[in-house]
Amino acid sequence: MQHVTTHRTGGIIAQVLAGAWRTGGPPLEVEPEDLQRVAPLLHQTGTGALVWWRVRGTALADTETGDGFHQAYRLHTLEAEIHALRLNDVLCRLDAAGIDALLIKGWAIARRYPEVGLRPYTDLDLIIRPGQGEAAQGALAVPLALEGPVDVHDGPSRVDALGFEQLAERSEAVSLGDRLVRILGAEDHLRLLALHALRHGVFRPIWLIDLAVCVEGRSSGFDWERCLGPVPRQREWVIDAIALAARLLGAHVEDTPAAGRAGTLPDWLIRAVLRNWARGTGTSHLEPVFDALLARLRSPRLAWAEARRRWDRPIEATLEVGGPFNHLPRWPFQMVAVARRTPEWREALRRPTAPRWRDPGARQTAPC
Amino acid sequence: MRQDSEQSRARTSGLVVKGVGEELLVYDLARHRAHSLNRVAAAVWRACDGTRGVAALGQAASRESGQAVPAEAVRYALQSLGRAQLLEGPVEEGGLTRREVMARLGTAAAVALPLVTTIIAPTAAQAQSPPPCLKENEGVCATAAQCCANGCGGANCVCVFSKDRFRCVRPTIGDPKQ
Repeated sequence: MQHVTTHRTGGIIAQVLAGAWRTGGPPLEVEPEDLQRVAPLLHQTGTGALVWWRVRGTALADTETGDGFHQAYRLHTLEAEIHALRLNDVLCRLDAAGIDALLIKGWAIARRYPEVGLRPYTDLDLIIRPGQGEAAQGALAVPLALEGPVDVHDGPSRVDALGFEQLAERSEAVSLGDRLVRILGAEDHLRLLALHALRHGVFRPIWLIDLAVCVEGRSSGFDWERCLGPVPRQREWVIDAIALAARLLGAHVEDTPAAGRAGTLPDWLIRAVLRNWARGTGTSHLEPVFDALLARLRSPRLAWAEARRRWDRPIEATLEVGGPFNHLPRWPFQMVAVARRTPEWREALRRPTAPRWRDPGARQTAPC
Repeated sequence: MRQDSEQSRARTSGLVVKGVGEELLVYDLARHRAHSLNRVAAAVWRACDGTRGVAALGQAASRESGQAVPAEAVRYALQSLGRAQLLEGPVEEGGLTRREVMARLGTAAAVALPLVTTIIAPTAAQAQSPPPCLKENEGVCATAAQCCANGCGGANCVCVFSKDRFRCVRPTIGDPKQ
């Protein structure tokens, strides 16, 4: 019964968000009470503004639930302005320190939506040339005028198979006010977004919407070979992620390598995504499982619930093991994924003192 | 209490302003509060250059908004803008209520009433907005217990694990890492 309810909640979310990114999309046909039921999940996972985009001008806009989406739209719109100022500050500092940076996710994808405020994000993700991490840390040591998380990846190895030089060579410069921002080429960015979504169990519907926006807005010269990348298994994963966007949200993927895949995706994969949407949270950004279980040792019930939650991540497990999204059961992948995390458990037991991301002795002036 | 001789001046620093359709959205970076101004309130606010009195503000706002903005509406706007701390100097402490203004203006009030609305995040978990609550040398910790024991920087802050470290963050709309 629980499963049916969860599945249905995820299904309503999919229904609400289908085509929501398109200007003049189809009218939303959902019962007001259903919309009200999933509203907290939509807000929680950052799609409130998009829902407003879809319900404005309809009777749903005048409801209390609709007003909540309107508020989300207003807040996200303002946040987008603030992020642009922060991004400008960060890039100015990195420029001054002679650091090459490629912006990924966040603003780099939000700019492709009809309005940048429709796609909220929290932190700024930048890939820098390998070995420049320390210099970047120094450049960002003085608190930003508008504080916010900045994730600086020292080289792209954690997010992509290609090297920095290759990505930089294919990157493009786009305007942000008076500044030029280097973002990944459309093909590389789509691959990175697809793999990132899967790596986190696609628990945010916005990640599939990102893929839909990229695919539907691609240029005529879009190079699919370049997009899918050189690693065979990753090519399959990228196709499967795009197919998920088509299957669950109605993304137009005709004339793409994912065209025939949407109908053949395994049921467990669809169910896993809908289950994650119904939960509204993922496990990838939480504390490691060992710490989580340790903290709940006094309550076996909570510990058991946490253990079940951490086990139920078949998508992440498939990626961690390097497996395919086929129709075979997932438990072997999940078992291997758990076993592979053993070193993390050992690490947790002997974790050293707190890492520092800001050096208290760093210079106290910033160039920007 | 604002003196008659003092004219209202719109705050310009520490604000992020964005026009969306007929409304003007304003984010106060110092107080982390967001406001929505309707067309009339926005017109009055923009006209507050520190030199205009109520009558002149009404005229300027009428020109910009394309509708008559009577003195009562201007006073109500100044009161609302002052309460939202969008004006420099002391706050207008008039006791006008929306109902009183509407009664005085009659049927025209429906279109001429200036509205300044504070934008509230749709759910309690979605606190006001950035900035995240990273504390100098305390926002990053080795364990969740250590991170959260330090208070995580205030209300609505949560401890999350991201990229091999724990961080205190204040979620905006949704969780971190979007």
